[in-house]
Amino acid sequence: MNSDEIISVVADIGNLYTRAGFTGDDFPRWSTFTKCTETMQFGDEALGYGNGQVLDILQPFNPDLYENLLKKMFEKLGVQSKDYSLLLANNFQTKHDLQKVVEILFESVEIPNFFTIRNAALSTFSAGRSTALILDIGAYSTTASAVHDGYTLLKTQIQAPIGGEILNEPFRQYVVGEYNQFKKTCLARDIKQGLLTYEQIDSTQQYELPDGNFILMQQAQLSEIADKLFNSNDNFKGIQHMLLDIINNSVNDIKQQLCSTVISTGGSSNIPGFLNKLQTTLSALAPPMCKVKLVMYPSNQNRYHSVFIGGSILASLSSFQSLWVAKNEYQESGRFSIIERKCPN
Amino acid sequence: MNVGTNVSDDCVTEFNNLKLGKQYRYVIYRLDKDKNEIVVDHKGARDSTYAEFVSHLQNESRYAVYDYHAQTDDVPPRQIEKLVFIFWSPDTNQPVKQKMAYAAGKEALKKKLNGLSKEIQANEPSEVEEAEIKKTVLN
Repeated sequence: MNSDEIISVVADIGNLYTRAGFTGDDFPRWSTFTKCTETMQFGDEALGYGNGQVLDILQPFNPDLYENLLKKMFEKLGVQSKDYSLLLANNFQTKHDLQKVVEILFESVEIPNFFTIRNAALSTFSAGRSTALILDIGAYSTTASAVHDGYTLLKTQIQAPIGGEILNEPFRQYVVGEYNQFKKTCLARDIKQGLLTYEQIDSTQQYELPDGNFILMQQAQLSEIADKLFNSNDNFKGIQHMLLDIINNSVNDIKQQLCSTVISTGGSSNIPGFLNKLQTTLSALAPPMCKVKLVMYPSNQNRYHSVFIGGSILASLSSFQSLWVAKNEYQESGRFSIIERKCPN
Repeated sequence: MNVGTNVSDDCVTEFNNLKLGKQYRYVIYRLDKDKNEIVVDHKGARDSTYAEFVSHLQNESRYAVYDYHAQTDDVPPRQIEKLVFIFWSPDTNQPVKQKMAYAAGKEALKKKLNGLSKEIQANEPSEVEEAEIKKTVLN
């Protein structure tokens, strides 16, 4: 049996976006919002132009909606869940949530094999490393983690309630027209992605709205918004301090390695000038013997999908195939304990 | 995280020849993709120079064990000998899948080699210069 030919499904179900596809692909074939309508419709058409409420599937974790999302995923990928192993990125807040999902996957969705591993480890692998300091700027929260030899060090992991979505807010005022909340947020997000920058540009930045009008903003205004990621407030120290805390709390042996392998992932890392700002800010604060070095992905696109790509590669390695947890193993061994044993974290 | 990459028996045999038999200065390993196994790539004679060793680290990832001898700055100077594990993972031109297969296989190899004192991960030539290895060994 040639392991290179076995295809599995890889899924990264985040708080805002869900990305799913097949091992060996460098791009998720199904990319959608982790939200649905009251009538269980998925996708931006249904969400943006419907009249009812838009329901969050995570935030908080809703098992019934999650089950629907999983089934929809296999349908959209065009395959039967009974025939495909699933590698699911682990971004669960509690063991209880993960346990529930494993139960749903084996008993209701009926996949044959399962594996899970932390998002941070997958982002590390997709940069071709097994040890790194990962800064994952998500939609609603940012997580900084040290990954060592593929293990995510949970004791030093730090999460903060700030992410890309908070940067949408200042752009909402420019969205005019009769839209539901979901659609308004999408439009504000588009404007943000078109305008936001850390780079010092003298001229005014402009963005053309669908109706032909232009938004004009000064560099100073945009910097103030972008700097939210670096400035501290009541709940939040600034992303540079999250990384610094991990460096300072790590054992000496790996401090230097973490400093020299800093990886920033998540769409917000693509804001022009962000990586430079992160490099200079962090370098200024790092302990003396630590030289800060940012590791880049082959392409900026990778930052949106680094977790998916890491999973796609990991689950395609022939050496990985012995690690899957099979359905019968799960059923025979007291269920969740085997997940804890075979999936490092 | 050990993903179960195979390690050929040769890898351990030659490592012991270096460690106990003092037959080599270094052993370089590579990942045989077809067999999904880590195998011996090069062995350096006991009197090889560091430059010779580095000349084998080119555009593809490699693992290596180097028996490094250094002198401390104390008076009188002490001799230190350490077995250093080097993970060479160049960023240029390697497909991510290959880089990752090497990253994932590292633990499997390390587990089989008893007596490693230090580890270096190098992604570019400056990180595997002799000065770097000396610094690691003396700290």
